[in-house]
Amino acid sequence: MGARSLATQALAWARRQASVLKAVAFVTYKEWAAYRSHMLLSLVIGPAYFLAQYFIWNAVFSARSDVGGLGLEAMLGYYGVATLIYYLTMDFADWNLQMHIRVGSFLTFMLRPLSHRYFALSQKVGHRILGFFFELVPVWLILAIAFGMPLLPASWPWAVASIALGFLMVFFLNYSIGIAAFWMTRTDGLRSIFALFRDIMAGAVLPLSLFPLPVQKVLFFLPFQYATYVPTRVFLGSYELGGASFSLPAIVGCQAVAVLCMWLVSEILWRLGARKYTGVGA
Amino acid sequence: MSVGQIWSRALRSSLARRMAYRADLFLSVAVTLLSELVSPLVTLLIYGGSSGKGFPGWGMFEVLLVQSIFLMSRGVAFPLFMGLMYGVLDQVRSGHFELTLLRPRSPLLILVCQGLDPIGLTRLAGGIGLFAVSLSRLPAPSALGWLSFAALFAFSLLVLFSLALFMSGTLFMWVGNGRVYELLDVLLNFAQYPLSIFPRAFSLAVSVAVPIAAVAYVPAQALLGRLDLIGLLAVPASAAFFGLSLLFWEKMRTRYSGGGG
Repeated sequence: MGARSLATQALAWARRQASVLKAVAFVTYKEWAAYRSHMLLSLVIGPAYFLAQYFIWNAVFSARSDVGGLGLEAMLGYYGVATLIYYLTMDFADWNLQMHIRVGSFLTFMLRPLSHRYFALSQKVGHRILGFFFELVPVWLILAIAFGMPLLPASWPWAVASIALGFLMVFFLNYSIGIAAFWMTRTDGLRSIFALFRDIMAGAVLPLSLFPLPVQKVLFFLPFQYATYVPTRVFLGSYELGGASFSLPAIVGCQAVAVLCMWLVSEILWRLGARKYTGVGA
Repeated sequence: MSVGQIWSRALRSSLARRMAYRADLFLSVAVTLLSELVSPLVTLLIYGGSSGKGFPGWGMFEVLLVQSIFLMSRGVAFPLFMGLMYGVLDQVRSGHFELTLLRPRSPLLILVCQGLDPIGLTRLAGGIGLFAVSLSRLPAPSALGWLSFAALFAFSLLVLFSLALFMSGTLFMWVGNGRVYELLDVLLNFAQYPLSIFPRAFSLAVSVAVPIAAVAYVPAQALLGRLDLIGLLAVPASAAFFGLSLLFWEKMRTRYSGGGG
């Protein structure tokens, strides 16, 4: 009886959380749909960025057949998939949180019967659903038609799981940096420096396998690769870094553990930061 | 008040604003420098492999020279006038552009002065450092090479100013679109590599139609003593591009209707 009651309560809690997520995501979707023309710029920016990579790597591979263990097709595939995954995982949770803290409007979130982190995560869901339709699908079509690259996952279940975990990893990383505003108030510099290192160490700038072997070994133990490099490699169907190869289930398992650790880090930072908040300017 | 006085007051006020948050200022200085070194890092990693081969016909230090000139050009442009993009973005969105229009000076001059950002000079320092290292590993340029470089560097700045005018001009119509920065970045991405890696038609397009080749590639060619016709075409193209950008900006400015003021 006790166990059944507990299960009922857990189910009710999960339903409530799902309902909150759906409501916030829907409102965010509607809010950002007003700026869909801004989002449509991705149709130029994404393919133009890919075009630059296309020219660069075509030139490099005209003189050699292998760079960091990747051939031309694999290299372009990497950049194509990384571009698509970006549209599913990007967020600006760090900017949003620091802005609310700096101008004082964060106080209103402290008074709500809902964790701000969950609210921000739900917002991201709505924002990225919009990104799926207005960015990912059109850019996928452009890559398929203009570049002859119809990018499809090697294994749908593992790719979906890895992208979902990448989605959470990007969120927890960014949110943790946003929390720094409790101490620094203005965090533009910190956020920029973090974004730079995150993008380099996540494999968004170039595949991590291009780095020297000792650097790759260090990168393996940092959380950043789980944001871009791992989902991209899982999408492509193989994973190796620092001289080690992993099967898709093994690396997605590692990714899940890393996301859990990052959630814990954000939770600790949140508890420490919230104590500092004074609500000036609200 | 003279233009010089307006400029100097704007510079002091910009510095004072940034000094209010010193920790953030120091981090901004660091990130400004580091973020500009991403392309040279990619070049190093490409050339640093076991084969040491990179872009056909280009040595590593020649490519780094192009990228260092790109950094120097941005290092001058961003602190001095690229801030006008944010000025238009912010003022048109908030409606404060009316105040700029009411001032007894050209709105463009006011926006450029308001956008001064001395912190961006860090980029210039990074660019000069990379420029010195690259040049030290290449044959010394001739006097004519240096003279051509100086003249072409001015055109490089002209092209960046023109891009700022085009991008900010769109913001009078496309209110609050912060993604123009991404658009600018992706365009300038093509300016950081030798033209020979692009197909012929594309090279011609980035030399004549949107002359971003003039930002770094053409001045670098002058220093390397191998200016070609395509490089020379970029000079009149840059001047024409600037004229067009001024016309575009003025035309777009007249579309401002004060919404949100």
